[in-house]
Amino acid sequence: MAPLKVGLCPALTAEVLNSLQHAGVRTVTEFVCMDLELMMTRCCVSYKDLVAIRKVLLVQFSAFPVGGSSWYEEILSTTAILSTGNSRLDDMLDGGIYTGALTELMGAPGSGKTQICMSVAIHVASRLEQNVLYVDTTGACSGRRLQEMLQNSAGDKESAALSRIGFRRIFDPWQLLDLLQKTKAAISKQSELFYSKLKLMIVDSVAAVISPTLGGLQTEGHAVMLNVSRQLKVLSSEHAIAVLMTNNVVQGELSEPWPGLGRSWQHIPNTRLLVQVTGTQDRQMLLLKTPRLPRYLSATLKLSAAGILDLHTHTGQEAQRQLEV
Amino acid sequence: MLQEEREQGCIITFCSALDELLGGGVPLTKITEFCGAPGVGKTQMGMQLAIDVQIPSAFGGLGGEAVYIDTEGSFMVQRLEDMAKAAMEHCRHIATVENNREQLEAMANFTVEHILSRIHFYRVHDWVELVALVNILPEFLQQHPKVRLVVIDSIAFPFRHDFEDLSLRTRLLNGLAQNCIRLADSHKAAVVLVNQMTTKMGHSGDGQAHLVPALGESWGHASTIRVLLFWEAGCRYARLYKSPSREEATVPYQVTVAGIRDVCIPNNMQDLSTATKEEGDSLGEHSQRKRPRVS
Repeated sequence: MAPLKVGLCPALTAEVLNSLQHAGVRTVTEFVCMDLELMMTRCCVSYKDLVAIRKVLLVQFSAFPVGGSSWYEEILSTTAILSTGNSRLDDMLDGGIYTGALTELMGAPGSGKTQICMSVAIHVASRLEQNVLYVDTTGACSGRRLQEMLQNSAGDKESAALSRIGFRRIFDPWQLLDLLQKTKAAISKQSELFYSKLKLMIVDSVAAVISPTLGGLQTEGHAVMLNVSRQLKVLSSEHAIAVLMTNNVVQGELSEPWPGLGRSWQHIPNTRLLVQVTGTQDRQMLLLKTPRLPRYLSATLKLSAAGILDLHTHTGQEAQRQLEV
Repeated sequence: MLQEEREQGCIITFCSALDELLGGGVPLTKITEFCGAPGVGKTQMGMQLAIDVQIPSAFGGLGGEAVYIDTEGSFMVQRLEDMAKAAMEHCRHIATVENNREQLEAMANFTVEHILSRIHFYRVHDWVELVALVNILPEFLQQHPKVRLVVIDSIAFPFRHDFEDLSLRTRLLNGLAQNCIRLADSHKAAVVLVNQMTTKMGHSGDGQAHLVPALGESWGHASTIRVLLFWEAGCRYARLYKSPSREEATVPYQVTVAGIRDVCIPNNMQDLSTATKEEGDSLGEHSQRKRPRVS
């Protein structure tokens, strides 16, 4: 349902777009379905131009079947696995956060989702030296804490690491959609260096920005939520970016924690982790939804001054990995 | 590519333990929530912060104005006057001791009348008025760019009584929270929300009831920083329950005629009894003693 815009193809100029809109053709779907001769008489645009535009639109917007082996080759070459900095968490995620997939962290307030997000951002920026886009919707990201984590983990290359993280403060879902569109456009244009090395996008938290629009008699909020999810999926799969999101927790039927944002949202992330508080600094992570590993794998984390990163002092502690299937 | 601005100030309270807990004071551009049982000092905290935000920059404060939104009717001007007088005395004392000319000049603008005139007070009676007020606050803050603090005391009260549709309540609260954080971020102000407590029956085996902050689980995600105020053995404590940059910690504090202050150690009976007497004198306090006092 993409709208026709100037610049989608060289023949689609402003006047051509105007005459098309007068004839009632506004989206790509309508253009491609219409009879070209009929359109030529109605819009006074040359037949050659219309054919050229149609060809370009079909190439850009249709899905082409690919052979299995070539698809496999493509995945092997484009998918990257970003380590989170904590070996136990990496093991639970089968290597780390995958690009081309949406990973969700859910937990009660104060359970440490923001801490984990900040820690992963620092690790990816400083150790893996990739760019990170951090979208903050709650105002919880604290620069001081990021600096503290950086100092406690790497020590050197401080300013270079922080410059690889781009911060955006977003407080309503339409701004979020706008940001996702702009990011997509910037990556395809390849004009800014930041976007060409962008490998991780963190949205903390998705629930805070979308839940005010949900519920009641209005259905617009639901549409916005699904629109956001679609943009995130397109961004992650077409541009090989890993997306890490945080979500609320609500009471489920048997009083167990249930992800927020409703049933429709439950299908959106590919991997889902539950963060639970077990002590002042101890957290337990539970794997609730995963495409690769058995469910209910769990691991314990310790939130320290360096976030969740493995430090030499922590690897000495026993790794409690229980397989509860 | 964007670097975070770390020169953001904090609103210092006069209680150094509390400032330490919060990492310098109540931070700007974030929502801080104070929850507690009745009588523990939440309104006092709100009033104290409304004065503290006005401390002139010569003393290390922000020199800003405050917006106080009262939903319960617990705001007492006489009490505020007492606190303002004490704050002014304290600052004057510092200025004369250090004999700093800048500070002495700043004192001219820091009198009780000036302090009271820089607090913009709103009394709202139900949730409709509250939501409407928060919606027009951005315009108000644009006309008064010196406002650095918005206190809503309390946010729980209008939403707890006679609210039939719980999903509507959740939606309104989420919307309110988003408006507040947007306000805080765009105007570089601190938003302080005062919340009440409710009882929750424990599911975890023992079935014991314990106090949790009101307004539900989803509200817990709204505030950036959450401080729980509670009583223990005759003393008031503040516990940092949720914060992105500080560890969990508990500090004691006390409410005196002058406002919120540190508890002086050594904690002998003498100090506690004088504190008790001063609290009895202070006006406008929620003076219901919920626990027997050790004296």
